[in-house]
Amino acid sequence: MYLYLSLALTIAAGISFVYGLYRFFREKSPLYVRMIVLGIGCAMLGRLFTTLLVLVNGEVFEGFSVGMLGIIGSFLFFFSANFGQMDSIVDDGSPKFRKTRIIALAAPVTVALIWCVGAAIVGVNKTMVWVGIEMLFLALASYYHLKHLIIEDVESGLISSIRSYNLLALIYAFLCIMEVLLECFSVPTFVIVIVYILECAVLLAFVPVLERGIKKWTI
Amino acid sequence: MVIIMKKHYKFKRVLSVLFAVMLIVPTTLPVSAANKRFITEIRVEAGEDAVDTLEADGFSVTMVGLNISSDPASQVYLGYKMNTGSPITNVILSPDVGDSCTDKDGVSYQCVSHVDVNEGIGGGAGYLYATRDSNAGAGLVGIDVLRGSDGEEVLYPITNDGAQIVRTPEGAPADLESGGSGVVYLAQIRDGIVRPYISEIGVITDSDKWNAVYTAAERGYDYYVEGDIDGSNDTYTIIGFDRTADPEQAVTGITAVAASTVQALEDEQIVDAAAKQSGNTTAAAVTISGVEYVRISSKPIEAEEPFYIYRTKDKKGGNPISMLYAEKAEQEQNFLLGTWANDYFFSPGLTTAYTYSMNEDIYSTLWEDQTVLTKLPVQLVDTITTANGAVTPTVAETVAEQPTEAVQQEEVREEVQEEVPQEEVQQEEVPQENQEEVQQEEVPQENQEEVQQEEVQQEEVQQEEVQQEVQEEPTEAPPTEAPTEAEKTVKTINLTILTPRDGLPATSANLTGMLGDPSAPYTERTERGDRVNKYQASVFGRGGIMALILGIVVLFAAISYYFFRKRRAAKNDPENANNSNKSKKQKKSKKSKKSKGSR
Amino acid sequence: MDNLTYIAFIAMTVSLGLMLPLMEKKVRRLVIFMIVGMFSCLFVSELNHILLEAYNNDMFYVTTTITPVTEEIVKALPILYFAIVITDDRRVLIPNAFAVGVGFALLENVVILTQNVENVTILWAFVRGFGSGLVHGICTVMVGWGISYIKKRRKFFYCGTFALLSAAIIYHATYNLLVQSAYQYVGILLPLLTYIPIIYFLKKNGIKASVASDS
Repeated sequence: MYLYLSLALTIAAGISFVYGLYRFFREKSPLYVRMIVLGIGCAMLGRLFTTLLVLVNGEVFEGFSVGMLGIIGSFLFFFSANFGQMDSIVDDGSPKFRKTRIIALAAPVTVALIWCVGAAIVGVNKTMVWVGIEMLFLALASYYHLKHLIIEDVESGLISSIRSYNLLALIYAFLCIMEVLLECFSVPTFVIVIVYILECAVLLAFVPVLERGIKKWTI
Repeated sequence: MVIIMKKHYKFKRVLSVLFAVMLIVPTTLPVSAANKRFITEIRVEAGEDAVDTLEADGFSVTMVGLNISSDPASQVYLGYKMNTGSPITNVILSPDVGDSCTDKDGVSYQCVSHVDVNEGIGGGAGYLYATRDSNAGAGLVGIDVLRGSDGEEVLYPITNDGAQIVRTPEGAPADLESGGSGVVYLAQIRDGIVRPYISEIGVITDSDKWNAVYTAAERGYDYYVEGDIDGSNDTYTIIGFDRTADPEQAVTGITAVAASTVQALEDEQIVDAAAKQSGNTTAAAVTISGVEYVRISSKPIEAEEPFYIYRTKDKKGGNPISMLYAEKAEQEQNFLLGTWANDYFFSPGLTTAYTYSMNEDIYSTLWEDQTVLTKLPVQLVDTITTANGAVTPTVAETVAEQPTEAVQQEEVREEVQEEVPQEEVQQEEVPQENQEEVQQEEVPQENQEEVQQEEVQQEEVQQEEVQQEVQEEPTEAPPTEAPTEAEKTVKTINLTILTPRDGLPATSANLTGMLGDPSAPYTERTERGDRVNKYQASVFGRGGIMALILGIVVLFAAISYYFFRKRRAAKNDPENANNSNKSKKQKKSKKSKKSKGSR
Repeated sequence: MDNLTYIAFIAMTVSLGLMLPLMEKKVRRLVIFMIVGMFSCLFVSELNHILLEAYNNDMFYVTTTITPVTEEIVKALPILYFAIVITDDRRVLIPNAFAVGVGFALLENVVILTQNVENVTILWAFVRGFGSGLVHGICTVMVGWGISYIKKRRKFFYCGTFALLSAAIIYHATYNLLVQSAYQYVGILLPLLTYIPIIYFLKKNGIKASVASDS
């Protein structure tokens, strides 16, 4: 069953990536969206590897698996896009945004808490250590997603047009965490299936939502 | 002009593609699995020029000759051709020269060449005959000469690696060196050598190991378990077995029943007068937890507690058995699959490309199973509990005498001393739940009454009729008290069985949530150190540290050079160094202003 | 026999090295990077051997999880150094990155040839030439692309390079996984299927154009 779920995720990420390539790489487009598309591509590669590994080997290796790098890489791209491109535009470092910065910390703190709970239940084994490393990058990215979701917009309206993308990205991060957490507890299969389906939906929605958002940038 | 040139260019392109195809196809053909090659011709030549003669006629020659002799004139060599045509399926050695002969199974053979394999060294004559009859077995894909001289390690007529020793028409292993002091066998390698499961087992007792193995070979076994399983210094008992690729045909369980227990079972049987008179009341089969086990040793195997060995092919008996070991193990052990099967079969004279494919076949067959192998100790059943708690057999109904043909089929591999036909014991339930403890079973009251009624009826039938009847349904043991500690003794004999195991616990959680299906076979990583894949984009050295040291030195040198250059640049032009730092900061702030403005 | 790798390395490097003074600057740099790639292969081969022993000779696990990481990192180091010390111009960096990958693949093929000398065929040569050569080249180019931002956009350099390195590692691991499975031929075709669109894209748009769009 997990083979099929993983395959579905791979296909969803693949469709999203190809559409993103078609939409944003043929013509000139902002580096911001290109990085997000590359992030989706990275996630696709990681999922593809995991699918193939399950197909060939029957299961994923305990502890570190190369597929993890796909998720790490994708969230690193998201982080890089927000931190490297957008954050310097909307946040000039003034005390005005201090409140926003503090509230945004809720995202990484939540991620850390979830990991701690998981580690407390399962114990700190090889896999949990690598989950922790993955969650570190997830936390970094989700901080900026939450920050850009709640921060006051600039005059040009850059941030408000991509708030829906940031929300989607936060949901995606949350779903990735759920995906991992569900292995720590024995939950009914349909719950796992629902999480995977939601992840597929979010992945498919990334590029269209982004496209709609950046259209407003040129207006 | 342009059109002509374009056509010319296309023609060149087509030619070059064709050339490449012609180059690739012949070199890859031998490795292609679709064009399997078999031995289609065999020839024997004697004398100094034997090898040259054979090679001139296109035969591949075995690495060593059929005679152990330093005299070139006494050499006899076997040549063979491999092709995709009709394969040779079996080779035998007969002392009689002729054009054809027939073996004990009625298969007809043609003489390979009228050359005595013992030419030049004397002794009994021997001529090789071959057949293409598919009833004789699968096509041969290789043939090997095994030689053992005096003073060297003993050469046994069973190779234990899937090859079959060439036999006489009567079925005995054929020694091609009957005139010399050593022994020479021919080993035939058949297609479909990968047979992971044990299909049949037999017990062979003889005076010493060599004789026991020879007897096993005579009976037709191609494998035997190394090690003496009896406790006597005067005899040597081995287990012979055969293999199959079909798990449906595999043996699934082996157990040993103490001779005293078998005797007790037999004493309690209700048998007819004629059977009692003849003494033909041996327990040829027992039912343990609903699984019928058939006896494969007609005499008890000598040990501290003599025992008989029983085997079953019933799926309820367990997973198909892959291997047997003569060793005493007290507990179950799980370990990785396939390490024993990684010992690939290699035969001189076969192309190395073929032996590589052979490795792949053996490896991939077991790898695709993806199972852990469990080593199980063979339990010795020496107690059974009855209704009143005494250590006696359970209530037995009647003895169903097995038809002679069926008995002979099951007994075909037993020792020759057994003369009287076996009878099948009425199926009983020995209340033994598993290999670790003896447990009691409860029987509903209704069944108990039925059993008693049947007893009476069947006794009447037995008294009236002489003819044998059909087996009856197994009866449940009457309810008994729980066994005491003394009765729960679990003994093992000097045998362990290896069987694939399924249904292991689910694997632990992993990052991407790909939790292994608990019902799927557990997959372990195998030791593949010797198996190198040719196509992977990863390289492994041979353990030299020179490259590592050099690499680290180069790394340090590069880093040092970088810092040296930086320092030198700062020293030579300190003003510029400061300016460059300032300009970097200015550039940064300019950039951020620009980007704010442009968007 | 154990020194065959070193012998092959020395034989090839010396021959290539002797050519260097006769070459133009651009070509010389490419050949130097090829030699560097071969040295990286030598270094990584011994490192991989140690790691293989540490993981109980589990070839499958090591080749799909460990060696892609070590090899990509080691291949990226010369490119990173060049970008920091000499120039980060993408027009120079990308071909040199490919040269490192090709040099790596070259020595790797020689090593595997010496280890499997009885089982190799012309088909094997084609497969390895196209397969591992392209895999290593493409992976190093991916990382080189990210490294080219080291001075232009620092923020993008750190994250982007790591992310591209992850992508290269996954790509490499996927290839190793497929060629050791029943889907061997899919794995063998994978590099070609990646290489052809990239070359088409680059030819159509030109490296100059892609450089201009990012600056």
